[in-house]
Amino acid sequence: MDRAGKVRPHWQGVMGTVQRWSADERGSLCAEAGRMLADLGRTFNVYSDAGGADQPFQIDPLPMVVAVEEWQKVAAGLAQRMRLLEKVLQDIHGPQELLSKGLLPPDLLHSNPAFRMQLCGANVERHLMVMGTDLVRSSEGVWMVLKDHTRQPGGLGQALENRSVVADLLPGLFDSSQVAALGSFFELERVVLRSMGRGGREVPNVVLLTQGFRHPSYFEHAYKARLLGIPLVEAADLTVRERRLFLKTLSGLRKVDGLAVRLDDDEIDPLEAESLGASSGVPGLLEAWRSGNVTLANAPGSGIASCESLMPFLGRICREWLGEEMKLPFVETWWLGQPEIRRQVLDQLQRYVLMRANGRDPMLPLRGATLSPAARRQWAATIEARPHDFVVQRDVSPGLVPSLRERALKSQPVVWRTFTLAQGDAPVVMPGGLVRVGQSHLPPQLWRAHAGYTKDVWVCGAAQAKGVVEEGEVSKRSAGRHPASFEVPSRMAEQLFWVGRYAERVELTTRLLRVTLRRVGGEVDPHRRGQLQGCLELLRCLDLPGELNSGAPERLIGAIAGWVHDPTAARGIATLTGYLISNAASARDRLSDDMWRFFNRLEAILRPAQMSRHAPDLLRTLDALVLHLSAFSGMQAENMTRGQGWRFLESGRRIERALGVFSLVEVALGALEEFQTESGGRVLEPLLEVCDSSMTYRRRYFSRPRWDAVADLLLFDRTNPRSVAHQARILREESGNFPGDPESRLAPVILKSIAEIDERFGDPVLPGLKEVEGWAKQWENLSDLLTQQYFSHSVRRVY
Amino acid sequence: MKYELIHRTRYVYDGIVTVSHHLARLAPRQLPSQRCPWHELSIFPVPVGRGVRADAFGNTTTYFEIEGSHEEMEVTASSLVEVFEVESPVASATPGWEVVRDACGAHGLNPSSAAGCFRYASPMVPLEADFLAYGRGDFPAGRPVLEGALALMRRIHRDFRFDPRATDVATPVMEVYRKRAGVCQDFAHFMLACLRSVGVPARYVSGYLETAPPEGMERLTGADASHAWVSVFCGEEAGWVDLDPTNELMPGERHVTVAWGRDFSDVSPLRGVTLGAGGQTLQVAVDVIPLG
Repeated sequence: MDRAGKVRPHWQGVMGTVQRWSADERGSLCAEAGRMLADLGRTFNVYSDAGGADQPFQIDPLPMVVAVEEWQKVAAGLAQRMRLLEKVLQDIHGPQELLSKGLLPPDLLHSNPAFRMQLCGANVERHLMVMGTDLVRSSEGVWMVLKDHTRQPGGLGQALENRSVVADLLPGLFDSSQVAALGSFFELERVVLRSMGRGGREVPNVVLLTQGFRHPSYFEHAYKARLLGIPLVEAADLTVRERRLFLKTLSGLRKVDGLAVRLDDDEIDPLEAESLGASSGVPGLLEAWRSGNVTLANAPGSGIASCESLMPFLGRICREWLGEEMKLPFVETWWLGQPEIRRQVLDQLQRYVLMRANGRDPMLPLRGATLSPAARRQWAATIEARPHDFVVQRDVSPGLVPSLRERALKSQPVVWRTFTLAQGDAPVVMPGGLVRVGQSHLPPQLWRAHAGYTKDVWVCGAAQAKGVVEEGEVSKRSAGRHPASFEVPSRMAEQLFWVGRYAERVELTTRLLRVTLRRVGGEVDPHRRGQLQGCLELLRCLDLPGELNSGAPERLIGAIAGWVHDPTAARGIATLTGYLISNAASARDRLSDDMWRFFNRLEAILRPAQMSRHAPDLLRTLDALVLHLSAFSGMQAENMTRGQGWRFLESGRRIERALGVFSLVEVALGALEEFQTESGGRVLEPLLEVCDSSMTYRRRYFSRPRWDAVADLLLFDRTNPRSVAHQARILREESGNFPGDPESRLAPVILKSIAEIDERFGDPVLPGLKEVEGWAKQWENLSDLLTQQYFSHSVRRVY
Repeated sequence: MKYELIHRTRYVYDGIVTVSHHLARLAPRQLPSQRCPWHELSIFPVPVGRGVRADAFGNTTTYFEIEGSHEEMEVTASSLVEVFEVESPVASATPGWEVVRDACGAHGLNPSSAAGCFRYASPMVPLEADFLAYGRGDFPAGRPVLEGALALMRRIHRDFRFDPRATDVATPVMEVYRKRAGVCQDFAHFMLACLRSVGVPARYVSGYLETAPPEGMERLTGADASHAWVSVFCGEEAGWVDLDPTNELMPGERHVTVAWGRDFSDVSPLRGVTLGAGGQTLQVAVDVIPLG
């Protein structure tokens, strides 16, 4: 709205529609937006059992509307800002004319740990590939810079996600509002990233380096890597050899030309980390970078450009170096390292927010206006003692925009994060961005960084905004398959291998608990109840904690509830699912959204709002799990490209399924010896049911289960997809496509072992306990061999 | 004074290391008071990648990689060095410490503002109120900066005990202060923390000290060690003046300078990251052989 309280013209289209909605319609829109986001998986959080530290972002479906003329003004200012900050970074890490010409106080740099002296002197062509800038609207309606982000600006992936949710949610409004498209901006980002490789090859190898799935922004990193079609890697996937950077893939080392870095400067290279003994990062990476053999974006050391203390000096630098006035104003900011300025600011502290110029302080930021006279004196003394450590920014109330919260329409303050990409000397600004909705009673510096609502940004009247990125030009240059996208990092292959193994292990556990539960309780017929003892014998193969006792049904059901839901129960379903999900999370960019939805649902099933200890509820849960696990294996079979990632997922699955059958057969054999032969059915019937083979057995043998027939069906029958022989055949078929030279290292041993296994199970025998144990050992050995040949990681030591 | 320097570092790993990356700062600096006509770094196993550059402080930095299974590594730095006696500035003639402090923060680039990069906290030298409280007594208003620094050095030497068992290479300065004990690295870090808390720029210097064998005894091979001391900025005329708080003296002909930086983390003689192996044993032998 404008100051007269009237809806501003470019908002009229959107607001006209929104105001016609009923409260119910608004409420359901909000709910739908939340559901769509959850489905996209952003709210999925592997940390959730650690106390839910990360509140996920929510989405406000009502976009912020920016008129194209207004946006163009902002964009011109941002482009200028990026050119300026690039020049500043070049100078700070090189000739330092800013210092010698008196444009920047030397103390400002020297006292700031974000200024990494050891990174000076490298010949860096370009520091900033992408820049984020937070803007707030003043009461005069002018967009002003609140904060720069030059280290690793986050939120780009999130902005695109918001767009896809909101455009789906409000299709009519979106179409009629002529909203500028974002797709070409991302295309451009891809082009910019690929232009990074200095190797001079046509399609350079570019990868995205992240800390791994425990990092709060991991989801966004994975999302972006998939969007840009570049591999998502962790430090352990990379190695420096002869001052060149390589990706460790299943088929050997692949040279990397460009690295989009999502790590802090001190986490890049343990050899040069300021903290001695740090072990994260890729040893030698900075040396490879200095040698010009790999491009890093943004370049290490770029973070210094986003320090607030620089902001008051940029205007003069802009005039002297670019010969231009700054196009974008900034929120009044002062570095307190200058005595005159410090005096003036301390006299008027109530007008400012006090912040650290560098590093963190648990007490800051704080509002001068909220300080008692005594506290104010105390802070003044602290500031006098080390003035270079502090900056202040004007305590501002950002402009309000309409927001939809539940059923109500409100006006709330926002910060707009914009994104700018380097493209030669003419940076390109994203026609949109990410809006954070804040709290009216607080200045934006005090808003919580990782929580709250976000909005999409619509640059409307887009007919003229088309010139942002020339679509044709982009697609022309981005054609060509990206070679690195066909390489699976060894670590990722290992994780997919374990996704396969854990998926099978969860399924076996689920089926076994379900079979048991069906035989507990009063309504079960006596024949089936007789099999309960057999089930408990079979359960031994899972090695679950606690006692197995058929005597007290309630206690048994309680124990089963724990094995299903309790994430601390060793080898229980919740625990195994946790392993399954953390392995899957580390291979996030190889799994489709649908597969990811499966993991979200799995979580939801295992963590219901109320955990029931009633047998029927538990049965329903176990049924749902079995169905979802089948859906997952179906997706794997039908929707996953038959690349090496798939092959290792499949191999893990086959090995685990065979091992599951062996462990069941082992305990069954033990039990058969104990029971009389005529009551063998007590074990064999549940066994067939666990292995999903009861129907086949009945159709084929028309008899009560006999050990020889059951053994044949579960071990040797190639037509039974649950049999060991079937798993062996699939492994043999896939082994022909294992990566690398079949003559290298352990490959011949692996191929020979698989062939042997396949042949062994082509020839039915009636095995005893010893044989089964021997076979299981051979399969386990196969898993070890695969690990040694393809995944093998060693421990890293630092000194 | 001329010396032959031999600094041998040997790592024996507990298992097989497949790849290792290293960074060495072992070459003596060229200075007005020091010449290094010959230096050689020999590494075994032979590295596959190797590069030499000057780091941000002008120290010769050698990067190398070793590829292929190895169970031990040996790095030997051999140098010939000539050190000249230089006249120390007259302490009472150096400017007042506040003048030096303020000049470092001034705009424009000159020796003072360049010294400013050694005036603030660094990775291993935080600035704390305790260090200011300890150091302030030696810097009353207007006292010549070198006089203050000498007094501080004497007090540290008196208050702190030399004890190799009290600390290790990563011990925080605060702990050194609490224990009032440590080795040359700790003495230097603590003195830097005090000087910088007061506002005087000071840097960490790593090198060697020629140790005289006890009266009537032969020099023992490999018995010397790396040494560390500090250098204080005493204004543009006097420049940087070295002080050795461990031995309470101003370094002269017997101190050989290898590298300087903000603290030990900038000048660590040998850093490395290995892939494979569980633990390792380290042997260091240093010889500073006087050639006359």
